[in-house]
Amino acid sequence: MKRMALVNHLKKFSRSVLNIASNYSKYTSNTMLPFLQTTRGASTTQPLSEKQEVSITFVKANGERIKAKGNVGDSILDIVVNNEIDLDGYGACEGTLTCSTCHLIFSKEVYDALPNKPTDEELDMLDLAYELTDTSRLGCQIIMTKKLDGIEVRVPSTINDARA
Amino acid sequence: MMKLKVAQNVLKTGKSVKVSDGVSTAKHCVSGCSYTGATQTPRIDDLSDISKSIDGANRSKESIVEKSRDRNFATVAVTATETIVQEAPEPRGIPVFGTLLSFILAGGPKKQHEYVDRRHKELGSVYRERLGPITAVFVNSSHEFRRVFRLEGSVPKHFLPEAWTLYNETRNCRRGLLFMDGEEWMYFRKILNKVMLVPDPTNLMFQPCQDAAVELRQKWQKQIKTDAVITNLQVQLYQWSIEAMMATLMGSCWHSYKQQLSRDFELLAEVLHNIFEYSAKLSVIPAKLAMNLRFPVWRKFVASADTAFEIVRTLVPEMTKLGGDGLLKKMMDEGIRAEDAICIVTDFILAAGDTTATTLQWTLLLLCNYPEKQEELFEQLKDVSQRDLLRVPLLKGVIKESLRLYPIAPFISRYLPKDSVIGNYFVPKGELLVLSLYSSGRDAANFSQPNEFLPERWIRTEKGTYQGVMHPHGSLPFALGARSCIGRKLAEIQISLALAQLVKSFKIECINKDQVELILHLISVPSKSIKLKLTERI
Repeated sequence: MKRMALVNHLKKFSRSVLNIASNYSKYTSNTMLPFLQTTRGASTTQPLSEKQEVSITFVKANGERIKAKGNVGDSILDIVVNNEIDLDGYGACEGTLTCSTCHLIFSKEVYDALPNKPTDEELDMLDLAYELTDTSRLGCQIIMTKKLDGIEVRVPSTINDARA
Repeated sequence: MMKLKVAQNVLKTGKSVKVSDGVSTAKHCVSGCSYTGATQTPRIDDLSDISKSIDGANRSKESIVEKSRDRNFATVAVTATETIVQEAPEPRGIPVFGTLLSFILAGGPKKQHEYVDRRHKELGSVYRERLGPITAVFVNSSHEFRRVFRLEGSVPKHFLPEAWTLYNETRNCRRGLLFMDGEEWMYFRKILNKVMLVPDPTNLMFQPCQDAAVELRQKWQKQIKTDAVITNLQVQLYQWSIEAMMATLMGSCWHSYKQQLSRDFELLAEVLHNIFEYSAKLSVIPAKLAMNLRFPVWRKFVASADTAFEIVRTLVPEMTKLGGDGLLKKMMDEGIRAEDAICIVTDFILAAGDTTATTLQWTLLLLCNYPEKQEELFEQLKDVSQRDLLRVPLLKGVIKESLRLYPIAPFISRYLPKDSVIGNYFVPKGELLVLSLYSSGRDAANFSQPNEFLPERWIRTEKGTYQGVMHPHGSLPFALGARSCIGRKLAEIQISLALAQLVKSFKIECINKDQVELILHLISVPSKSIKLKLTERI
């Protein structure tokens, strides 16, 4: 009896090892491979890797500076959410273009270099933003590129610091 | 346009702060807040009170002297450490009834938008009033609107008419997004955001809405061969709207199942209309009272709601079984289970039918009242390809301008999660706030020539600004933020495409336009059925 139990135990053990192994092979073939391919691609003429890191500095109305990291392909809203940056009420509608709480102010150079011009929907929401400037955009609509690495953006004051 | 239509007509059975001597000298200390303000008055929970109250009303008649009041009252120092904010002004009322009688004399719930607009003119952009079973702080300042949507918190709560919540309770009826709150709401809203708002859902919605629009146009082309006047406009547009919604839900297979699924649409259109009419009537009486006393209006309300649910509840499971490749399939792919999908889709159909249909009616009426704008729109649309239609600035302007003048949900409600100051007045956590969109949309401080239909005011100049729009947030027909209208995209696409079809094909006139005014049946509806006379353009 004891021996049987031991055999069963071993069987279970080997099965679980096999499971892990097969899971692992699944993992490498499905998930790791494209990643490896793209990183390899970066060194040649292929498009930039999805995983390339970029940084961005948020300058709050009170002067506080917050540096955060994200990846190429993230929106600025993604970076704020992923880093759990505490910006009051930022991105309330989760990027559905139904609010303007992710409003950011860019420098003229950066604004002109942003990859996309604002759509009508974004402009409509920007109309409703506090402290609107000529170089304002919604963070949820700005997708980070390598070119934007290291930019600084101003976070406008919200109702809590400026009531008027 | 599954607007927060219930948000309107605001009733609240909670705390009713009412001042019977006409001057509310309340003091509020925001920090460490002790609410020392107004006197507490009993609610009209019991009909036996009514006779009593009428006597009360007569007795105090002499004291109801309407005069303009100095609103700089009520800042009484309490202690040096506390911040003191004023109490929002309230209209003078009479004991127990408050201002209900003057409200009813002014047209009652049907004319609540005008009543509230007058109150704003009398008392300012923020005031508190008890109407029937509810007390609310009404706000019509575009600036404060924007603040309210920043203060609403991450899981915003809105008002639901008592008649509806009571119906759900008594029928043990689980409902869709509109009736959900807290985490449950958040869970489903996040999924629906993904399929209905971002990424751009136009691909999912364009073709079904275009087909529904073409079908409506063809139906009318046939109909005017015998009679140039479209008389049953309301029902026809309801059907168009339900159909566009269903087609979007089902996707490309809609054509194959249409016959089978649309058998009850006419009846559905009719009962939906009734539901809104009866719930508007029920908004001035406590629903529980109406139910317990078996008021005819309550019984009719329940009967209509029952019929609507009966139809939709056989329809939606059929749809989930058929699957298709439309919005419904996408929702289920994103992880919404069939039984939840049934509740959500049921409310989509109930909420989308009337709001979108009625908005299109108002838009058509305005284009009849301003024939030169209709001509201009025709000129701008006639050579535009199907795919570019949604980008025609004048078409967008026409719809925005219609919703400014006739916001389908003229009152948007929120309960704020914290004690707040709205327009210098103290609003305690959990008190009902009502944004008066009808009033702000027609305010000359927000829009120049506010009562004129000027769709071009929404067309941007080179500089990116508008002409004739001082505060665009004075018109927020879909609300803002996390709890804004989930059906906004669908509504915009649906209305744009139908309007384009109709304006391109017909010269549209209205033969009874002088008799039509805005009344509230929870949503803004025309007081009379609009009669359109169509002439086909060659």
